[in-house]
Amino acid sequence: MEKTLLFVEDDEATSYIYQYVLRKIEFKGDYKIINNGEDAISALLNSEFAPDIIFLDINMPRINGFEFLDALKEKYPLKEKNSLVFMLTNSLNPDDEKRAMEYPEVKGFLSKPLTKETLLEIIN
Amino acid sequence: MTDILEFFGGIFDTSGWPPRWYCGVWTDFHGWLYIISDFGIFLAYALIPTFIFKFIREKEGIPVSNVFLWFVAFIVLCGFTHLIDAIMFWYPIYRFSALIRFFTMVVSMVTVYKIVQIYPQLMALKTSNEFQAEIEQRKDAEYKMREYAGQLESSVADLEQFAYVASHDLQEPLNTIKSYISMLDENLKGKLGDEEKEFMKYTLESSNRMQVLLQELLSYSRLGKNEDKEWVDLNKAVEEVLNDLKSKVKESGADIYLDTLPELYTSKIEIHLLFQNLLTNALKFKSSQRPLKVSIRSHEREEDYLISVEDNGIGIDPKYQGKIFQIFQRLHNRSDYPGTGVGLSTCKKIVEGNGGKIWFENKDQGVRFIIVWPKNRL
Repeated sequence: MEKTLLFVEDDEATSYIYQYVLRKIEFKGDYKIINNGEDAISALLNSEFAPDIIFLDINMPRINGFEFLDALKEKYPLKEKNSLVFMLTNSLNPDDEKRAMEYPEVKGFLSKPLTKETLLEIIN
Repeated sequence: MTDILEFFGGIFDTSGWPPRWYCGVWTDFHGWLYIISDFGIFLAYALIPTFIFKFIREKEGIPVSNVFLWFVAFIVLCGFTHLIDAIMFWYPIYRFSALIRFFTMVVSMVTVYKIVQIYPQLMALKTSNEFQAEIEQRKDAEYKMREYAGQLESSVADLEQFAYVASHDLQEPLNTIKSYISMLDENLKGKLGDEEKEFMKYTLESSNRMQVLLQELLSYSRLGKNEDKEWVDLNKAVEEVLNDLKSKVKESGADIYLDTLPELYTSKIEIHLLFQNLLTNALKFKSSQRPLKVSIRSHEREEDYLISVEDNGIGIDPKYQGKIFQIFQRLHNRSDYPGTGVGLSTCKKIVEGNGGKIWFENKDQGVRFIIVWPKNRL
């Protein structure tokens, strides 16, 4: 069965890359790209969308990736909802990785850009 | 009642008693030992209060000096009781003696009461040993603080140097990339499919953005390095900035009010940057609901100037007070409002570099940035 994906990413050029990569692997499932954390949170809380996998940027306007995870902790526990999170970031800071992996729902810490190979490996 | 009248009527009357020499059996030695001792005590009890009095008068900041005055009175009176005791060997002024003893009793009691009253205060006074220990502790803390300040200063300098070098050295390969993409774009004109056109667009956009980011990082890291300070006429400076932003002002249709602003002794370049950033923000974040109004005001206080830049734009959620002054922090997606997130951190660095403070307050409509700029920084 095809997975449902959510990308939380503020940069337009990067979002375009995701769409391109998804097209290249001929992804048939449902996916959404939301360009800020707050909208992504309300999309989840309003059950507009129940993603199997969330690709989460760290450095975003207003609320960053960590604040996104913290905001959902109570209201929408991602782990219980069977949503896996992969951080997808330009951060070179090892502290960010350490911090990310402390969240039980976070399954990986990926460096941008997202490649077809990585995406396929995660989806399957 | 008759007793009392009689008492005060003949206060120095000695007729009812024999002089003490004739009362009982005194040897010369015994009598003179008594007299000389009493007289000596009187002398000492007169001199001790004199010194106490001189001490509290001349030494400033003596705590509880009030109680010392009671000590003085009480000791003087005690001295007199001894003097009278000695005198009574010749003149038996028993009534006067009783009166002085009565006064001595009253004053002693009051002194006791005063001591009880200030006792907690006395206990709280520090002895010189305690002071010494505290001074040592403070010296220690000061030394540590200086050490930390030194470390901090050098790490800030390192960081600025790093930002400067990094942004400077990153410019070069970036410029090369930009040139080659432009060349590629030109050579491939008309041969690109829709998808490739998008690739080209994003590549160019991203490399332009990186260039702007690097330039801003570079100028941010150099803030405060500008030593050329002068008296800057703020009205003139703001007008120059508005002139630079002419097209944006026109485009936004802003109505701009400019108060009479002070002259500040600072770097002209930095003042330009400060107002350029604040005014650019005011023009950028305008509300679509109403015509834009921007006012720049100043209020003089004793130690500083309060300078405010306010607009009636979209405003800022107060919870971002800490965030918006941090470098590269943005509240909007670039597609909604362009920018790099350097502007307000630049403002903060400039204002704080001049010993001032900057923050924002929300109004019913829009936002007010307030700058406290200290006077007399030559």
